[in-house]
Amino acid sequence: MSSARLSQFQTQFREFLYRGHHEEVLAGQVRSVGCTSANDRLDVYRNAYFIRLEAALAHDFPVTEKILGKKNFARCAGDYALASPSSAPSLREFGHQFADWLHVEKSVMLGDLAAIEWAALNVFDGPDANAADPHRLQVFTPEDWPSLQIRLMPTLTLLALGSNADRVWLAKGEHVELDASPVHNIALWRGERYRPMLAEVDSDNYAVISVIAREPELAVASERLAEEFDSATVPQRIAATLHRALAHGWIASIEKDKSLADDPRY
Amino acid sequence: MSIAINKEIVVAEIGLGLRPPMYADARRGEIRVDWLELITENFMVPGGQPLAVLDDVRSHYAVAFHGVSMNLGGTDPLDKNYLKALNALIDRFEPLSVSDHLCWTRHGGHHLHDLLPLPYAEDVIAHVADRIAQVQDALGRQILIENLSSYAEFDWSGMTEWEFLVAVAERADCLLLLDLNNIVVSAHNHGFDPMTYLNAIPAERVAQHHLAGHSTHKTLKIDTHDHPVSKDVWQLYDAARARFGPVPVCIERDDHIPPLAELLEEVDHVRRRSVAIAS
Repeated sequence: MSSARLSQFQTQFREFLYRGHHEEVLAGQVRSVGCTSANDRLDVYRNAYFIRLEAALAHDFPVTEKILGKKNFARCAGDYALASPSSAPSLREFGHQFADWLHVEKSVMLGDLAAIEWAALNVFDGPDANAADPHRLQVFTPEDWPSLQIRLMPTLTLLALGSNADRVWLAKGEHVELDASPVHNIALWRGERYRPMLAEVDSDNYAVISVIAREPELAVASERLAEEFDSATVPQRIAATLHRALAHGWIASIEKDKSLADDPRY
Repeated sequence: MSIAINKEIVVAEIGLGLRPPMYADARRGEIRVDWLELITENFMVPGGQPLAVLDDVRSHYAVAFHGVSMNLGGTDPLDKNYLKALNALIDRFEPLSVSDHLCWTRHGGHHLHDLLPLPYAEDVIAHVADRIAQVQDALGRQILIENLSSYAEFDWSGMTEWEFLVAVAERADCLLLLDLNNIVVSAHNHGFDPMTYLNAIPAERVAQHHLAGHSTHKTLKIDTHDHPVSKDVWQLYDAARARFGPVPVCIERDDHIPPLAELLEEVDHVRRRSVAIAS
């Protein structure tokens, strides 16, 4: 019974924070001291709630904030907070759906930009792994290839953009207007000292890496790619992509043995 | 569970809240403090720079873990994944202490990212104490709970904040992180005497103090941590030092963080006052 009462109180308080609901019910329970009204006391919490979430998003999406302007960004942050309440203990995770939300509610271009910023954050504090030796493929024979298990670097992100958000992000929002552009693909990954690196990738690279991310075994990945490309060209597309991926440090391990490929030391 | 304050923290007296602008100095061991306090959730990440920073920091300093999302006063089930992540951090960095707040922060699966007030009632004491006991069992150690700054108290509260705090601590057999700035802020907002609060706290439960600054908005004091420690907080520290002895102290600054030298001046000020009161 008591826990139910506490739970009801917390439900009302949460709804008050979100939408201002139940304010009079809660105000009626606030102890009266001095000349500060119950509503003013409650408003401290409501104001702080939105200010804190907006500040967290502004910290994590600085270029998006710059492009939108502080006022518009604050409005977006408030709408997003209502549409997508925080589900993680750390504010660091609050923006995990912000790019998708902007994409649907505002524009593809803003969604692209926020997606880049989110991927850059994941580069900063995502899982650690060592990149595979760039010459790793040389130790395998052609017969080995179908059984190879490929593990990508955990902070590698591929994005398909319909805008010049990559250029805007690289310019930190200065002197480049965010605009629509033909669809193109980019990769973001962790460089030295946790710096995010960005490069454009062609459609072959994008397709091969996207499939390997889902299907680490090369034989299976090849079958999937054969559904999209002429099967005779698939080995060549895979080889070219793997060479580029190794050169950039996008691959954590290539092993014949699945258990080794899953070992974080490789 | 008996009361056992880590000896290291008793010797190492003055700490500072570690915030990103201080990371570079802390990684080099160039902050003149005995220990550093960090916000636990900021380091609950899979890898990358935050953990690399903490590895370096830990090689120079003892650290204390201070959480903001344990939701001790909530009615949602305790978050087992959170406790698992916390345990992993504890194993890796061996903190002096683990603390969180006497509040609720999550409801219906939604995290509210604020330290929200509880009604001070008998049944709430039992509820919160049981959850603290569960956390202590899960972590295998006593935790410290911190008193809040608050802006509203609720009429179904049948007692004062300090009665509530002490009752929870006694029942859960946990320790107290007594935030002296929060006492000053809440005393102003709710019209009580900070000394009445301080005198009601059993000394054997107090394991740590926080000192911070606050601001004023209309008629209320707000716990903003964006100013130097205020005069009334220093005065309360003198009283706390006299009453509780050489309890470890942490200076917190979360916004408008000044140059490190300015914060270290506050650290030195704690040392001077502490010595003066002791002698």
